[in-house]
Amino acid sequence: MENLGYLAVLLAFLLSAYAVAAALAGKLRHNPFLEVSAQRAVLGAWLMTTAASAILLHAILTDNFSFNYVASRSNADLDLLYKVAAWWGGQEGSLLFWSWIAATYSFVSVYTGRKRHRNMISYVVVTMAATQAFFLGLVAFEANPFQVIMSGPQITSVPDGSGLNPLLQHPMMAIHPPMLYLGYVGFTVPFAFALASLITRQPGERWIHTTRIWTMVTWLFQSIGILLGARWAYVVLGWGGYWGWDPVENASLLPWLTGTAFLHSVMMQEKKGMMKAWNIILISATFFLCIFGTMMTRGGLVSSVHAFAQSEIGTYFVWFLVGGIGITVYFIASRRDYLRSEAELDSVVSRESSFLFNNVILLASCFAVLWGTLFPVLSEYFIGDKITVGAPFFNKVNVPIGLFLLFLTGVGPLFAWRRTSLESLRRNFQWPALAAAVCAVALFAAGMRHFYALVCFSLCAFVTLTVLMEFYRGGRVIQRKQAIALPAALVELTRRNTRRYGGYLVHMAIVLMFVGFAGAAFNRVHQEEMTVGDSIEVGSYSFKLQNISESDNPNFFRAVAAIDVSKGGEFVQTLMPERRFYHASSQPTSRVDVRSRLREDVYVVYAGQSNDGANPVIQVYLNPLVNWIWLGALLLVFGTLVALVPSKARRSAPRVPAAGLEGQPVGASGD
Amino acid sequence: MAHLAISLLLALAAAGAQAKVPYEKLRQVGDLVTCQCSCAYTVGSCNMLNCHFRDPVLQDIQTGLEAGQSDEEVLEAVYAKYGSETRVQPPDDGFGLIGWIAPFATLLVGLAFVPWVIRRWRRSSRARSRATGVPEHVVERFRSRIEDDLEELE
Repeated sequence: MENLGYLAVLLAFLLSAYAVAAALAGKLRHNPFLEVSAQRAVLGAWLMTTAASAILLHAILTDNFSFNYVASRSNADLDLLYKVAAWWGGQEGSLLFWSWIAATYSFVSVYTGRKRHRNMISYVVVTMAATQAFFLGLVAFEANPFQVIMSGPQITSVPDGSGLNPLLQHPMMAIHPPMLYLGYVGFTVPFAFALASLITRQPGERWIHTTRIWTMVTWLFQSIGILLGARWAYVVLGWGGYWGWDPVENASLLPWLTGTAFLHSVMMQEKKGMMKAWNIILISATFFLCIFGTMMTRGGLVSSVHAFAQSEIGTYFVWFLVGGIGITVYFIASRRDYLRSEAELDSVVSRESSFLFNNVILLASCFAVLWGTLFPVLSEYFIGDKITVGAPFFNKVNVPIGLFLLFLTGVGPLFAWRRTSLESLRRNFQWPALAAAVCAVALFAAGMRHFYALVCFSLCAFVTLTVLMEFYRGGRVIQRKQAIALPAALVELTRRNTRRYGGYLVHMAIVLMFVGFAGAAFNRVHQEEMTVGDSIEVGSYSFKLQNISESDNPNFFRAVAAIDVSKGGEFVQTLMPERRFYHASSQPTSRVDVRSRLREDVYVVYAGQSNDGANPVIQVYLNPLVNWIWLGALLLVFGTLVALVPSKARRSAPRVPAAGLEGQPVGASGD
Repeated sequence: MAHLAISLLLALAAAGAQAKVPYEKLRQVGDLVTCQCSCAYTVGSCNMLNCHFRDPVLQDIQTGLEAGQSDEEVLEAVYAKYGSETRVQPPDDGFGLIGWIAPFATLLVGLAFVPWVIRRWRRSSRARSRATGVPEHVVERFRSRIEDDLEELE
């Protein structure tokens, strides 16, 4: 089986390489036969990658521990769900998983776009297949998951595997990596379309539409992946937080930030024909940051709790990045005329300029995260002293930038395209500004003194009102015209322009998340060594340790603490945090128990035993408003899905030069 | 026997449990020291079993605070003893200062770049208007109408 699996990987690699060569040769020699052949090679590569993945998965599910990968990432008593998760639980398997997703994306994007984008699809094939070939090459020659531990007629059985990392044995972890990979790999598709459009100097906006849709889909996956990771960290790692600014967490955030910037600025290109060069740069940066993030995780550039085993593959990533960036820069430079703006700006106070600011802030945030992540490497290189950078640095730098971004989230929709009159500004700003002021005064009067929290809550009120006003104004117009109830009018409004109102829902989701982030300013934590019957007081809560129960199963031993939670003398709930010890890997973990409410989370951790091993050590966290983050996450998914649905009565008017400008050369200025 | 072994393995040194310094304070200062046990957290947040790094550092922090030292004094002593890789943020001098300045400098350069881009766009807009020979107010009227129509279409 291992030989078949490896053969499938090799064939997939060769087919991908062939697809690159055939698509390129077909395009340059105007040979449609070669072009079609390249597309079929993409299908073939997908079939081979699927076969290789199926063989590895079969080996994992049937406990075939003669496979080195299976023995080191799975064990016989592992639950089925986690056996599947073992596929991406290690370096070799995850690279194969990555390749399979890349192959699937290639296959789907090429076969859905080959008629619509007939004259540039071959270049899409080149980019997709080249990326895919790179990862398959790593699987084939550097990280082969089909290596066997031992073979020969005398070997009849192989002992149990050492199991999956206990921290990964959580339902959230079974979903989080695939979502993140779908995001990471998915950004190859919009990049491939953007690069192909640049190479072929595509006229019109059709390719932008395709690129934008693919970007939204992958952005959604990336968002879900990041948020599931945050949720997993919160409920599994047991340190009371959800984001530790770990290099690998940061690596997932970087392309998300540039992708978000692209989703905003691409509107300028669709509507006004502006920022073409900028958009190409943004989507290219997003793609290369995905590759860079992967290199950070796997190449040993930075150390991280999430990183895979250190290996030599980082060098290959560097060459891939250098080559890819070089080619992209060449095409951007050689097609400057094509990338010139078609329209210009009339006023600083306009939607266009708000998009520019939005992009600057998002990129500044991206740079700050990248800078902090690489600072230990840079400091070691320049001064020979490795200075670690952690959460305090990232929070100090990113909180003000994030608040500015939140402000722009509210301001942007209040500006009109091209120019906003003072009267319009006054009319649009007065109520949101008043809401922000009232919120700030009320919170200050209530005793809140945390500066950033005050600003954040006020801005949340500001943005909320701007979004609500947008819905209300549009809904009222439809309500009057069609004589229907306001809720029905709001639904109709959204259906008429799903992209705009879906976007507003995403903005609301961001507001909810910021409310949750601001709540962290008021977190409380307490740790106590407790004996059965002991009570501790934290905030307005009382925690009484009722008993400790122990149990064992083939996979792990566990000790569970039953803790009664009371508030104001009244029993609220029994929380059951536990400590597990996994037999196969000899590793312990904590399972926290959380009482979640909109107001706050009561989060209890069975942290361990006292020095003499006699008593449990219990940690209690009171985390205000953290649930708003997960609510925001749900709304973000919903809003993005709404934005992906085609609008009801889709009408589009091609952009034309203004009267009197016909015949004039377009593109007097660049972006 | 198995349970005894497991209990031993589960034994986590709870340095703060008997501390005179409140746990919240210990945690607050401990969160400014990076743990070196490969957990990638701070010594305040590390929940590794029997962490070889967290426990002595927390003990040093506790001793320092009990001796009446300020947070800064305690932290500088910890950084000096355990190395600069235990810092959670760059120092305020030397290369560390660049670490602090660079993100904000980038932001400022970016923000300054926006008005420059806008000025360029506006200049080319006026130049195009002059090149056509059509009076600006006429172009403006038609543009406004197009924009209004596009807004309607949205």
